[in-house]
Amino acid sequence: MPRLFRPDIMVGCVIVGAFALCAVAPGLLAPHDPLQSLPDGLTAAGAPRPPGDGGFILGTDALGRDLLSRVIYGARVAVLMAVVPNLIALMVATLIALTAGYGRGWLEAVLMRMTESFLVLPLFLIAMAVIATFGSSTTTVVLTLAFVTWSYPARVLHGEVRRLATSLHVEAARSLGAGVMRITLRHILPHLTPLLVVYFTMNAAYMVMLEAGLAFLGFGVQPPTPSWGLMLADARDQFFRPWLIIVPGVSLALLCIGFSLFGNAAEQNSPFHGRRVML
Amino acid sequence: MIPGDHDKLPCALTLVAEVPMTRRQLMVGASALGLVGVSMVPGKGLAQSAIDPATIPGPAWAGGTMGGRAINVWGDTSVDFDPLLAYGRADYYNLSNFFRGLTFLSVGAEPQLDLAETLDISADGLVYTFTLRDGIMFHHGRKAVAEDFRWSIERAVSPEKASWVQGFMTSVAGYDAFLTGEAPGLVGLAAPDDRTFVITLAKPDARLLSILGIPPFYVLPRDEVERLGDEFLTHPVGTGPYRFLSYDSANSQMIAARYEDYIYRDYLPYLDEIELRWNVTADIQYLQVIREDADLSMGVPSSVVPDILADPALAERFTAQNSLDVNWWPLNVTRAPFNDIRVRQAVNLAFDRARSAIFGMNPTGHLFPPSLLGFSDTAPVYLHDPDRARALLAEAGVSDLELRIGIFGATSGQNVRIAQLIAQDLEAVGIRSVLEQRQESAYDVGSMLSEEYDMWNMGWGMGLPDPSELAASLFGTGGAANFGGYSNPAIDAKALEAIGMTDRAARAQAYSEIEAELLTEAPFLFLGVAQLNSLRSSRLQNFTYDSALWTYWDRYWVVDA
Repeated sequence: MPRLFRPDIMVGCVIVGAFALCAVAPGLLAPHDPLQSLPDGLTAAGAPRPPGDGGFILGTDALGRDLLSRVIYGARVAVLMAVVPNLIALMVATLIALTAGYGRGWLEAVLMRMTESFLVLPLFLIAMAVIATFGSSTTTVVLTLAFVTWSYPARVLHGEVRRLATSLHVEAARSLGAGVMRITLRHILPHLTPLLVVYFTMNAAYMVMLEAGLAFLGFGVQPPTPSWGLMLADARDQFFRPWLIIVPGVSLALLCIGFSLFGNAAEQNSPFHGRRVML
Repeated sequence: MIPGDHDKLPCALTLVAEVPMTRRQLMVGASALGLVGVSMVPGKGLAQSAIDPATIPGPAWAGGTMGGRAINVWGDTSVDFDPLLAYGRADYYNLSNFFRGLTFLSVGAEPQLDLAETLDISADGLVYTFTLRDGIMFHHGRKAVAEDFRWSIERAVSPEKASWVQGFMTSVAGYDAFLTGEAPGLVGLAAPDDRTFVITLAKPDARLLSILGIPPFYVLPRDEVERLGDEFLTHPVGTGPYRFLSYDSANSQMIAARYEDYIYRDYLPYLDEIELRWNVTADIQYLQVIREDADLSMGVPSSVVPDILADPALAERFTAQNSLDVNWWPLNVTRAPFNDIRVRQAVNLAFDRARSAIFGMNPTGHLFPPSLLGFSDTAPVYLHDPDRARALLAEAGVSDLELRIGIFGATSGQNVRIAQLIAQDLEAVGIRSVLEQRQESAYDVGSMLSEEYDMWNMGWGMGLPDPSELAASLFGTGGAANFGGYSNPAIDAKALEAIGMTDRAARAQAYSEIEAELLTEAPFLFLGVAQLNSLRSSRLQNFTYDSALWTYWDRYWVVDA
């Protein structure tokens, strides 16, 4: 059986695909406006409706908003955070790794010591501090997530660039008179792609959790934007309405499991599977 | 509950506060009230008591059973029982169990004489002469004398302590000299003999008796305060109905026992022992009370109120009362768009504040809490009227408006939810909102608020149940918490004048007019007061809540004692 058709990989694909669909076309899937309190969204006593009550499949929240619609729209934030800051972080990491790994010398020393300095910082606290300083717009959150997550892939990619820089095909290109740009872009960068794909998928789950954690503490995207972390924060004092915690919690867990399964598949199908990467 | 009727009698203190009387006249009046009271209170050894039970301040209490113990639970993470340093709920609202003062705030924040037996106010309203009850004893066995009262009040306003009540005695003669260090003591306080305590004012101050009724002005034993030092924070020694027994910081638990020499010992307290637990989250408080593991929670989360009300057995033991926690959203009047009164009024008309009721709020639409002097049902509050809001916005020429709204104390879900309700309602009249959660309190940001936001949430727990506190801090020009920049010299002048009014009705009228003017000017998005949700066990009887002191543990009893 081809590796790509294993059950765990298929499950990962289905989960990520389903949430990606929610993120791309939430308006087609959500039964209600996720921002609006609905006239029948609360019981007569003013309590949120439990799942199934009043036609609300996943129930309603404390403001009488449809939870299913908020989860669907919340996928947009989650997928956005899994993709955009992840791509930015990997681009920065690749740039630093290529510069340091191929350039060597003092430039490598400076860039790698800077990268290593970042590795020892408490990234979650740094993220909170950055957002507290620059505000909590979606753009700020995206840039902050990228800012705090580029260092580890940069360190790993740097090792791989150093290995590739001494490989025969690069030596051959250099002998034929290829310049630095040509060698790095045509002969090294393409060989980093499998590693980048693995990192992207593994990091995606981390990004989703990081954003949810920040949002839970009030440092992520701001209300009333539907975000799973915000939904969990909103459920903090709703101890006796378990669906308010379970619905966004399960969504978060599912998406992270999906990305992890996907990442495992990418890793097992990459040329690096079972091989040590030089740091 | 078998309420005594003595609480319906006119208060002797109210009479003397409004009509200057001689001491002799006061004694005659008090005796008459006392005779009536004795005849109404069923009781325990009335003939033997030197105290007339009708003169015991506070809500109704007669008819219970002596003995037993009860447990009250709180959410605070720590407690400090020095009356000047008690900032939390668990400590501040339990101070009256351990300490008492010259006056006591009864239901409706009405000041009644407590450790003072009589009061004589001079005709010019400047000299207050208190005669102390005979036999007031501190928990460590020493008799409390007038000098203790003088020292305690002087300590409360001393520059060294710099407490939150320091400004409450500004009317006392010699206050400025004492504060600047020119005088070693507050000359307006005098103790000519052990049972006579005199306060001399530099200017009339109608708030004085209420001020003396709040816990920071209760009497302390100087010798014990100095001997115990910092230990006094967890080892309270006063004249109250309960004396300290044990304190366990690791388990967040304190036990206090009936004080055998309490001034009202023939009648109160009912319970032999009370246990105070803190560090108990609201959800757990609720569970403990419904399981009868605790007897009273005054922090039941609003999210469970629908469940409580749906259960008749629980609903009967549940009380939702107005607190003195004022909630409002200041509008930044220092710049557009809220420098235009029409936009401020439009925002108030656009908000359907009734929807916030499910989040533990009584959305009165006032600034003043309902139990506060000056609160008027006829005040011109804003009813939800989006059409009129749109018309006002059009008249003001406002279109494509986006407001930046700060949500402070965002760890409280209540603030975040109410902000979203406001945003929904503003959207309905064409105003977009950008919400920003901040973990800190608005007071931490202070004057910077008006540089960052168009509006933001604020709350104020009133320490002194008197409208002068709100006037001075929240909407007076340059007030300590007036971060929105509102200023109205006419209101300032009227508020200053009201402080000296000794006629309670005239004073109430003055503050009603001030609030009406404030409502018209709309410098805030008016919301209301936080509701305090209390749930008691089936054992605990005679529970009474009032916004000033919250609870009166000396007059509760348990049925299985």
